[in-house]
Amino acid sequence: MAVAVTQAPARPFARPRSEHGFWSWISTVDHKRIGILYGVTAFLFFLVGGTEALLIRLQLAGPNGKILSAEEYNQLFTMHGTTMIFLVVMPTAAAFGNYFVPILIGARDVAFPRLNAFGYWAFLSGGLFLYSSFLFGGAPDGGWFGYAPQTIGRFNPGHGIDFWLIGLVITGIGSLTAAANFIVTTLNLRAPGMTLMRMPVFVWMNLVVSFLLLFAIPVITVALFELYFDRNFGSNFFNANLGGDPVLWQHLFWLFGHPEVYILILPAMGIVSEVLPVFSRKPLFGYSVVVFSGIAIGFMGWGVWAHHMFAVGLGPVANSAFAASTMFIAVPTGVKIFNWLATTWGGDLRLKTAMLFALGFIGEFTIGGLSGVTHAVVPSDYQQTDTYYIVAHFHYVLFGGAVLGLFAGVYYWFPAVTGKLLNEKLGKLHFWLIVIGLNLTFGPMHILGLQGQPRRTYQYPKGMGWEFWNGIETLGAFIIAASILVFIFNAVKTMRSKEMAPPDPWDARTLEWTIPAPPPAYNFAEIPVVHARDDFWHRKYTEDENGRLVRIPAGGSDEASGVSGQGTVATEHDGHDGHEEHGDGHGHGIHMPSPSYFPALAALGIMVVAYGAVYHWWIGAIGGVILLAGIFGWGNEPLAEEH
Amino acid sequence: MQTAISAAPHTPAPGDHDYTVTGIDSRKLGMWAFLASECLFFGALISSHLLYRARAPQGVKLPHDVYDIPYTSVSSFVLLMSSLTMVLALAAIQRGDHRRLRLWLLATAFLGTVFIGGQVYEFTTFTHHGVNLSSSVAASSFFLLTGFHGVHVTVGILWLLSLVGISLRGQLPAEKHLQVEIAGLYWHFVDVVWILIFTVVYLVPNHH
Amino acid sequence: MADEEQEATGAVATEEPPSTPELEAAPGHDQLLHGAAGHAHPSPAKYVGIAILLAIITSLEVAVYYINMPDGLMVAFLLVLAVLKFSLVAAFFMHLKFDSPMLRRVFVAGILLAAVVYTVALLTLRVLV
Repeated sequence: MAVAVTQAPARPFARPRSEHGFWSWISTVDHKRIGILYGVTAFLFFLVGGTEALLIRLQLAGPNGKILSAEEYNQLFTMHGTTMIFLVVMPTAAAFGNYFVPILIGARDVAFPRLNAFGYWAFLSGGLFLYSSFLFGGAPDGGWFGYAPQTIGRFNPGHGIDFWLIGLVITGIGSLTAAANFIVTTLNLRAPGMTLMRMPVFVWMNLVVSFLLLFAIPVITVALFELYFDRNFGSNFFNANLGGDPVLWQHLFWLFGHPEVYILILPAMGIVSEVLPVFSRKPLFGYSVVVFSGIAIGFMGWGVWAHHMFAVGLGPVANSAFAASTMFIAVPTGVKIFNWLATTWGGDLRLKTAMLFALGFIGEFTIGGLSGVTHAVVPSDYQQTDTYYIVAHFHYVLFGGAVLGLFAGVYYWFPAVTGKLLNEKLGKLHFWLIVIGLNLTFGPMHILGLQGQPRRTYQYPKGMGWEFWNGIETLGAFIIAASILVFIFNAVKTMRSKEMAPPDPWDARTLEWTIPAPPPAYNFAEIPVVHARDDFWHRKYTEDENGRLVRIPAGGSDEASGVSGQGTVATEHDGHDGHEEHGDGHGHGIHMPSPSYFPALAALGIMVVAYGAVYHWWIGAIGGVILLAGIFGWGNEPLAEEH
Repeated sequence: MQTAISAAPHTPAPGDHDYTVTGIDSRKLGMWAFLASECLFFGALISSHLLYRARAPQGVKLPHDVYDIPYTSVSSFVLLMSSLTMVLALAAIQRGDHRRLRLWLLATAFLGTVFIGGQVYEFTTFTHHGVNLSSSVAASSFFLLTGFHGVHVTVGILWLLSLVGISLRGQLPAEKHLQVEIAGLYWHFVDVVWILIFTVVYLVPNHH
Repeated sequence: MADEEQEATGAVATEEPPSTPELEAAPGHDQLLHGAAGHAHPSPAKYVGIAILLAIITSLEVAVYYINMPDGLMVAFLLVLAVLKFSLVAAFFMHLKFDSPMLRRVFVAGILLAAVVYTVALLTLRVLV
């Protein structure tokens, strides 16, 4: 008969235990630290992607640009797009999701802490692997969407595209594991009383995004492998000579690619849904409708992908069907916009930087949405497609939308993470510069697109009349760059300063403001019991007969509790038989998962396999050994060590 | 001494370390989420094959021309039976019979290996007939689909063998049956994908 | 190293909700939200029965393959039989029939989504038409 208890197997390397220093970051399984890793890394990639954009804009500032060759230009716009989408916007959303979803639902961590860490390391490996292409013969140059047959071996020798393919497979694995983790966390680990319809909208949007990732990542993974095999092992998926069909690539890519754009925007929409109520001192208007619209967008997002293929020749039936579905999907988005506006209507608005960014999101995203509606009209899209009009559209929704929304999150949540407030004056300067900059950069692109300036073209000739607006766009891009410098200055200055923010500085509504900032490892000394949506708000305020807010004396974050900065949280569960909830209200005796090197090791193994996939099989074999070591080590160690 | 799972199953209550709001163990829910994503993965590979199954240059054999249905029926049967042995392994650990657990896990791994071996032989035969990854898009799509399936089976075999090793070390008591169950879910899914592949790729006529 | 001397909880720790290592939940399917019918697991004999059924269906499939019939009819038969096998494995071997409906929903969501989007894509490529 098996014995229930045995000795732990001897391990060559000791389990990490430190909580400070470099190695503690490599081995962390704390969702908050992982969130910070995602956020900082994504920001660094943002600077790189932004530099790529500036180079593009310098090349296009005047006609017959000579700064970049055509090949260099192709690499730059490919890397710019790939970076911004996969290495900036998605990981920044992951940063916020990682840091805040567990706290917002009243949990101590995600369901799978080590898998969570692995997701970050996979992102980093994939990103570094992709960028190493610059050192190894050139970056990919096939656009962020890698259309075959431009990307097959015959037309694209060299390794650039392979770096792109494998790099995205790796980041995709990271996203997939993160998605499964968030789904299980959100469904399973909510605090008592936190029903689904009491969850903050940001948590809902993150859940929808997780399902989108769960189902979309596998599709692009197949496409990436098919192209990889075409390029490296002689298969013929996209080899037209043998009957390969480039349209298959487009289907597989856009089946992923369209849900992907909702993956990019929904987290920002979730953040806006958190920020607007706080800075209007009003609840979100139509919470259920906003949530259901998000879910609807998630569903309907699967029905529109071929609107990226209107000019490919699928035929009038397919084109019409997808045009109709594309027009329909504007509806739930529009619904959200109206609900956001209604939230601010009649509210006691405080125009802090976070609020400005959230309001900016609404305006800029709407502009992007409107151009999107024009794309849905197939004949008009025939003219727009592959012109700068499209570039205008997606930059308005992604930069004016996602990026502004994410910055709203940065300003809003900065005090929750660091305990400090970013400077408001600098924040406002950042905001106005970036809004001016983005509109100068992307606004004229509508005009130039309608005038026929094509995308992905490294030069335009003199005499087209395009010089003026291109010049303005380049100016706008540098204004954006200036705004980012302002932000960096603000962030560095704030982190250096010793000035701490008061607890709950925004007088906010949700659980992350009930715990100290920075939060302790275990988040909540005692798991909260939730009685309502915006539970924290209702503990602080009630309404009198005239509907005016009345502060409840005993509620709030720093009054009743004897511990500085700790939220007053009603709890019912002290746990059973001394295990989970030893909590004495001061966080002692709460066991958290122990740090582990294995997630990082496994990701490193994958990265080495990646080089093997591009170069030699035996490099891949070495990577495989490292990966297996990582997996077996991970499987063998218990989640938490006893102390 | 641990024997069978106690007659009164432990249902986690709020505050217990393994309490979940849905009542479903997190690892189980996570595995099912992963399997749902795999539907999209294999669906794309199957669809690529459906698109390409009849496309080959003049005079070049299609995979369909070289299939040996009786042979593949036998290997399909082998994989199907491995699902039986897998579920018997789970039943064994649930009643605390660790010898049988290991026996059935090994049987499952063995049957899986026979399946893979059968595929290796099958594919080698195909290449002798001029049907290989490069010979046509039909063949490309066939080999990528079945190849990825084979990789999944192989990963499963390694997983099962690991479980045997852990059990031999005495570290897989009856209370940890969920680990076997989750490996089983993965294994059955891989079998289920083959059920689809066998039907859609091998049996469905290819007369276009 | 102090860690090695600690009581091991079992070498293969998979990701559990954070806490001290504990006994795992027993199946408890019967306790689950929807109150599934009575007892948790089919007996080994029942599993063997399902396996025999699967083998029979497979033989039927192969038989259909060899019988001369219009393509459309054969495809219909084969698909029905495949779906039947798929369902038997999912319901019984994977225990979906007895588990929480949420698991079924998650899995079916994946299957349905795949079926729909790939069918549409193939239709636009003039396959399946």
